[in-house]
Amino acid sequence: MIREWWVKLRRIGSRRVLDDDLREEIEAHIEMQIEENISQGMDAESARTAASLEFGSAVLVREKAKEVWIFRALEDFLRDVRFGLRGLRNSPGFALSVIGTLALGLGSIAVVFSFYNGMVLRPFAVRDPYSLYAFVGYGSSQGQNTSINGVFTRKEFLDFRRDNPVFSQVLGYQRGTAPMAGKWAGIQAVTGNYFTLLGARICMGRPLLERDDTSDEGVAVASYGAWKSRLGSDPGAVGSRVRLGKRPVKIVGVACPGFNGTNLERVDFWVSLSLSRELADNDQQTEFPRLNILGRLKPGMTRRSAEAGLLAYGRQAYLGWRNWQRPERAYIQQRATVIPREGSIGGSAPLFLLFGLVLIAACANVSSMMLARGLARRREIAIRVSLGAGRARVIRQLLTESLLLAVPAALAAFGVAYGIIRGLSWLILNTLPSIYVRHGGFQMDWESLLPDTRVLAVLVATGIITTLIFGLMPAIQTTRSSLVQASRGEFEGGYRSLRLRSALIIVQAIFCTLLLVLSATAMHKGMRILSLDLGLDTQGVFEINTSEKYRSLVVDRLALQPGVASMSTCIKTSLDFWFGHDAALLHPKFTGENGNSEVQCHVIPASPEYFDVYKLTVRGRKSPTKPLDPAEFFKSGSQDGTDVVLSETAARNLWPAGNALGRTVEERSQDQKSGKILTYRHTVIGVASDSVTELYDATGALKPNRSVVYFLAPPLEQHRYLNNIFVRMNGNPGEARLILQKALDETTPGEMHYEITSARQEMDRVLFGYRFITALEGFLGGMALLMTAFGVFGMLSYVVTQRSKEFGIRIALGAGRMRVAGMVLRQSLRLAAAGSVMGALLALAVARVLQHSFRLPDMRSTLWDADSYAFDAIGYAAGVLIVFAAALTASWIPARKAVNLEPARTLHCD
Amino acid sequence: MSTAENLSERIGLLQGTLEVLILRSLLLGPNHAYGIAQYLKRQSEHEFVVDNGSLYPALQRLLQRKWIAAQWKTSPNSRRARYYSLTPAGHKQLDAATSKWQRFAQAMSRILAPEG
Repeated sequence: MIREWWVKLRRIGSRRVLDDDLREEIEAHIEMQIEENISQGMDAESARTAASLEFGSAVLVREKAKEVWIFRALEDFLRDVRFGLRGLRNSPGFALSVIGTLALGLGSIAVVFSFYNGMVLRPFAVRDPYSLYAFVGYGSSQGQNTSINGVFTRKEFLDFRRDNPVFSQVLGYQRGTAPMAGKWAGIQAVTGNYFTLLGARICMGRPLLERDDTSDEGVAVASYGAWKSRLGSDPGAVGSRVRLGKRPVKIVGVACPGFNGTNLERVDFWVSLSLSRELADNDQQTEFPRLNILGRLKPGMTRRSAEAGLLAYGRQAYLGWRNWQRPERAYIQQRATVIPREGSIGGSAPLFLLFGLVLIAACANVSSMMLARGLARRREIAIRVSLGAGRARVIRQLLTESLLLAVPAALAAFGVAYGIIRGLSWLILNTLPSIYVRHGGFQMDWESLLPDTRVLAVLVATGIITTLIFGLMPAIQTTRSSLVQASRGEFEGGYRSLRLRSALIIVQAIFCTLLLVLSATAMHKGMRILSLDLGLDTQGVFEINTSEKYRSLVVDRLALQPGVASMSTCIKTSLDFWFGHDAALLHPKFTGENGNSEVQCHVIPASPEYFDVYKLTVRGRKSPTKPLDPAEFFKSGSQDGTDVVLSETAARNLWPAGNALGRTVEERSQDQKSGKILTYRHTVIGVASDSVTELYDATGALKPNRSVVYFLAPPLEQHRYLNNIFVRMNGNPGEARLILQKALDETTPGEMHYEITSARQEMDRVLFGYRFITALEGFLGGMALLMTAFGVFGMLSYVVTQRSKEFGIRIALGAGRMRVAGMVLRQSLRLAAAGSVMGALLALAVARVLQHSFRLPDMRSTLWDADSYAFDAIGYAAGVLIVFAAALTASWIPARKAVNLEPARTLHCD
Repeated sequence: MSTAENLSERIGLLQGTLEVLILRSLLLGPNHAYGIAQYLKRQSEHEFVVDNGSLYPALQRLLQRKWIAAQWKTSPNSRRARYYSLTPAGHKQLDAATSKWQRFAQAMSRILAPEG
């Protein structure tokens, strides 16, 4: 054994050995010639010279001798390739399974690497990207705690540009979104030197210039992608006008493809500073623009010296009105790529590791399949080995066959990665609820994340390396048996390796089950929420959000609008959000006047029209004689003696015995500032039918809440103070929305200042998290399922082939064919059972961990509620069943092979 | 491979023929590259002067086809040299090639000879 390995090792260095041999041989040759010459009478000196001349160029001779071997190696390789291709053509099923599995494994790595490539390796398409630095902020020496982003006004920017000791050139940019050319677009308002400083190329028209900073006319440069998708690749786009909100904007240029600014998010248009006001953002801002700083350092500046310089500058420049603590350090960050390279390895390593595991699993599966095939050909191979081909030669040939599979697999993997990333971008762009789109989230520049030539090169290299991994072991194993043994149908060992392979398949099945269980659980949860009866009639109901200064105008305008059936204002949080301070304010404890059980209820201050909007029936009255004063409510909370309406559930909880109408209910809440317990008394004037106002309770479990106390505000004509406006519109919801939009466009400065949400959209937003998680985990689970199935298939093929003689004997002795098939299926089911049960248990454990880590006390959302991962019988059952089904499907072909065995043939081991 | 000193009179030899000659030179016993070249020069009465740029590659090709085998030995005057020897397969090859060449040579001389 050791000797064999030593011989193999020497063969690797055989090139060197050949060269050394030749040198020595040639030297000896020349020496002999010299001796001859001396014996002929020449002196030593001329003998040597003559001999060298006689011999000719030693280097040339050596090279020519070596060439013979290279040529031979090439010939051998081509012959192996031809032979391998023929073999693969005869078993297309095998070839496709191997290529498919490898493509999945390599594809997963390719996806991760593509992301890494796009975000960390590939610099922005600007001039000298590695000299660009962003001024990030100030802080203590431990970390940055003040961000300077979005803080500079134009004047401050100019001051900074002139006075700062560190940057030789700076530009400013403000990020945001706005509706433009019909849809929401990613916009950056930039200083005039943006394009010239970055050196970004413009393909049509002109870039923004310094003079655009101060001109009143709004101008914009479109990105190449925006020119294609929003301007319809119009060659006359330059000079045309589009609308940004209400402002007309002239397109003066189109950037070349490949440039997308210096951030991750997709930028559709760069606009001049005068348009910065139009970008949708926080209402509280009053000064525009609000710029981030990016620039090139002065020559000779290192990062350290730059940070020191900025620290000194900051201490004496702005700090007066910035209200910061005295900073200890300034922070700048290199901006050549989306994520700076330093530290990126640490962050991305776990991801690479995880997907690397997928690749290793794929290799193991393929190894299995190749072993099975090698088994089937063992007689042929044994003959070839014994006829003098030599084991090394046959191993080389088998490896070549593996290479023939790996290369198309690498190319297929490229396609797989491309498809996955494209699909992901489509999915996110098209299913993201509008609220996220509006605030600019998730609008990444997907084009830069697609795999490119670098990814392809890495893929091919990885493919070749993995060939050695998955191909070597079967090749060695296959060539091990002697001819005699092979003819007799004996194939030594692999018992140990069989157990190893079973273990591997079980591991794959575990992960598969884990992912599928989580996915099914999330999906089930989503379905349950969707089927919940909220108790409200939401058809035609819209929620309007707009800033305080426009609310009165909006209400007045809508009051006159035909088609508005009813309208109310209230404070209504969304179904799933809780925020810390609101939680306490809106969930005080109530008791009936007889002082029994304390019930915590959800408080909704609302104008009486609320019940009309949602078509809730009210027993008793809903118009208050003693209404809540909304303005006071915001200042100091509840007020004593106001009229309230209870929901049926609240009424039943407080007075289980009987009637709640006319009774007094006591409210106890804790004052936020003083901490005192305050008591208020309210009169119940009406009881409304039940509706669900919240999905989660205080611990984050899914528990729809129907206990509501409505604090009645005066009817709408008399006040406008409450936050949300709800309207019920008649007629077709699509048309109704347009009517609302028109009305709001007339009363507010534009689309960026209001938001219209239908109940359906609200539900979409609540469910988005579940749907996304379901899809993601489902997709990963699906891939894992395919891998597991291939693994089972490969292993069972091996087992059937290995035991074909045994099966043949059994069949010949009278065992039913079905029994033999049953043996095969049992093996597969055993693997599936072990894997899926352990996977389900792992899911329970993982769920526990997730529940603990996502326990955020003050904020809930559907992605992270503590309940998401609790045990759900249907979800777990679904996951386990799918794995079983896959294992059974994968064992169908090997089982069939076992059933169709002909004892005569197997006993002769043909 | 060339014959005589006069370049213009060099008779070029095909690749395969050099190999046959090498095999023949080893018939009497193992020899090293220098020895083979000297043998061919002597036996052909200086008609064939072996070019080393052809000899060494030919030896490698013969090694590949396993018609000769190589071994490092110490020569009579205690010098280390690589000795080549004929293998049984090579022997068989030599026999076949020899008879083919003889038939070829006879046919050639029959045609080239003047009629009559």
